[in-house]
Amino acid sequence: MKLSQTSGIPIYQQIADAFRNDILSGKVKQGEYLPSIRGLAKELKISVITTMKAYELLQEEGLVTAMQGKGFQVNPQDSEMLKEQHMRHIEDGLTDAIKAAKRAGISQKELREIFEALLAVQE
Amino acid sequence: MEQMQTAIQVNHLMKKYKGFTLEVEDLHIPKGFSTALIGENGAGKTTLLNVLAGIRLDYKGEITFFDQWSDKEREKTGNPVKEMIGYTGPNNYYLPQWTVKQVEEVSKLLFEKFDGAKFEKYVEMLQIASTDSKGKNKKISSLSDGNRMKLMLSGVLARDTELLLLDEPASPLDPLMRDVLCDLIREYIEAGQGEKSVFFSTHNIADMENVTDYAIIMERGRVVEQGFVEDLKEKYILVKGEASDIPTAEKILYSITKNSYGYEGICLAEDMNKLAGLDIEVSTPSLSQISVAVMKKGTRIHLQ
Amino acid sequence: MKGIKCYMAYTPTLFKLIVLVLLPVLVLGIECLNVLTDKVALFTLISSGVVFYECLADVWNMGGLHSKDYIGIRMVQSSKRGLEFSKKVVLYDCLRKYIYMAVFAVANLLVLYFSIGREAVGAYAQTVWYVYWTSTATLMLFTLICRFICNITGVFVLTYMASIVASTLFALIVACNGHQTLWTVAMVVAPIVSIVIGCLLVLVGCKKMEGSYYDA
Repeated sequence: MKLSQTSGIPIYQQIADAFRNDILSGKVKQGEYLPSIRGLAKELKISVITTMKAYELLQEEGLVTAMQGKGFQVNPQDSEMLKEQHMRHIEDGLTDAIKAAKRAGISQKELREIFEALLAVQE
Repeated sequence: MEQMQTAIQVNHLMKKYKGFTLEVEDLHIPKGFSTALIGENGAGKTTLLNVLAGIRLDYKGEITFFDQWSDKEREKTGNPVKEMIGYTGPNNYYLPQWTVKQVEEVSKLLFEKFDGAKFEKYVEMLQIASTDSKGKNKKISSLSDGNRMKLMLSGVLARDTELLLLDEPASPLDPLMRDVLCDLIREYIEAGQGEKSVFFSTHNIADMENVTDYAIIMERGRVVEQGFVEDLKEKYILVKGEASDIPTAEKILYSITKNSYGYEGICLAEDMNKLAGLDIEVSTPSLSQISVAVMKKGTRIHLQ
Repeated sequence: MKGIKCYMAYTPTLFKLIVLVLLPVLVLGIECLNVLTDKVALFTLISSGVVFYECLADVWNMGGLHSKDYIGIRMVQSSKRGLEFSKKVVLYDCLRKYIYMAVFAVANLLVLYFSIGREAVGAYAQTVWYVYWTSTATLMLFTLICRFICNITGVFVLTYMASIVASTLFALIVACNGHQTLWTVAMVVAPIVSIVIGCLLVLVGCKKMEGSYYDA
C-alpha cells in the first residue's frame, strides 16, 4: 500500500481505495478479515482513527462487515449489490456537484456542459 | 460512534492559581486511542495532567477513571487506578542525585507491576546508558533532557498499565527520537487491542499528528475544542483565495495568513456558504492548522 | 514495603558510600586507636563531629524538604505507594541517625571496657548516656531547621552552630559536677527532649510529604 501525505487525497481515502481494489479484484476473498485497525495503524505509521475511518467507509459501501470483537470481515461480493453500491456512489457524487452548482449560481445548462466536457477529457 | 468508552472523563474541573484558573467543563479521553492535549505554553496543560495523574489533589470537580472509579475512590487503599496509569513529566520527576540503577530500584518498590528486565531492555534499546555498571551508575543530573525523557518512557513502558499520561514527551527529543516515540505509542495502543490509551500534551502538534486520534485544544485554562481528528477535519475547512477577496474572507475565517497574492485560512465547514461567490480553493486542513486556527480565534475578536 | 529498602533505594549512592560507610568507619577507627586517654573527652569530641557531618550531609538527601517550595518527586507521587514510601524514608532516616550515634557510643564504652576495665565503664556510662542524648537532640533540632533552608551557605552556618551547641551542652557535665540532683535531672531531660524533637522531625517531614500533593 502506497500512502502519500501530499497527494491531497485524505489518507483514509487512500487506504479505503487500496482495500476496495483488493476486495473487488478478489485479492482479499470473502470471509477473510482485514488487518486489525490498530495493527494496521502501527504498520502504516498513521493514527488509529484514520484506519478506522477507512474501514467504516468500506463498511458503508457494503464491502465489509464489522464483527464484534473480531474485526472487519469481507462480505460476499454479489454483483447486483455491488452495482447498486456503485450507483449510489455515483448519485452521491453528482448530487454534491449539483448542490455546489446551485451555491455558485451555475445554471443547469452550464452544469451539463461541464459534465460533458469532463467526460470528454476522461475518455 | 456509539457510547464511547473512556479512559478518563472530567466534569466541572476547576483549579485556581494566582492569576490563572484551570476550568474544564467536560472532557473525555477515549479508551483505546491516542489523545493529544494541544495548547500554548501556559495554557494549563501541565496542571491538567498533574490533576489527572493524582499528583495534585487540590481541585474542585469530578474525574472518572476507566468508566469505573472516581477520583475520590482512587485515593482509597487498594484502588488500582494509580497502578494502571503511567505518568511522565518534565519537572522534578526524579531526585537529580539518583542513578539509572536507583531509578530501577525505586520503581520496583513503587510499582507493583514494574518489570526490571523490561526496563533494562528499553534503557538499552533507546540508548540511554550502557547496561554495564558504568552506565547504570550514571546520574540523572548528568543525563541530557532527551535521555531523561527516554528514561521516563522506559519506566512507564516497563510497567503493565492501561493508560499513559505523558507531559510534553516530544519536546526534549530530537526528530529521530520523536519518530521512535510515535512508534512506541502506536505499539502500546496496538498491544492493548482497544483497552490501552495514551494521553499526551504538546505545544507543537505537527510532529505528533500521525499518532493523534483524538485532540483536545486548550487555551488559557479552558478546553476550546475537542473531538476525533477525522471529525475535526470535516468540521473545519482550509480555504485559499485571491488577494482581492481578503476583506470579505477575513470576517469569516478563523485564522488567515495574507500576502500580496492571496490568503489562506480556516473556517467552519458550515460557514462555507458565507464564502459563496468568492473564487476559492478548499481542502482538508491538517490538525496543526486546525489547532492554530482555533487557538487564534480565542485570542482575537471574532467578527460575525 | 520494607522501610530499609525504601531508604536504601532513595538515598544517593555517594551519600551511602560516604555517610553510611566511610565516615562511620573513620569514627570507629579513631575510637579504637586509643589516641586520647580521656575516653569521655574523646567521645564528646567525636559526637560534635558527627553532629556536624550528619547535619551537613542531610542536604544531600533531603535538602529543602521543609521549605515551602518543596513540590515532591513526581515519579514517587504518581505511585499509589508514593506517600508511604516517602514517609518511610523520612522515618528511617531519623532512626538511622539514632542507631549510628548509638553504635558510636557503645563502641566507646567497649573501648573503655577493654582498655581500662569494668569499673571505668560503670563510672562513665552516665556521661556517655548524657552525651548521646544531647548530641542526638542537637542533631535532630538542626536537621529540622536546615531542611527549611534551600541555600547551602545558610546550611553551613547552621551546621557550625549545631556542633557549637552540642559542645556547649556537653560542657554542662562539668557544671553539674557535684550537683547530684541537677545531674539526675539532666540525665532524664536529655532523652525526653531528644525523642520529642526526633518525633517532631519525622512528623514535619511526613506532613510535608502529604503537603507536596497540594499547592499553596
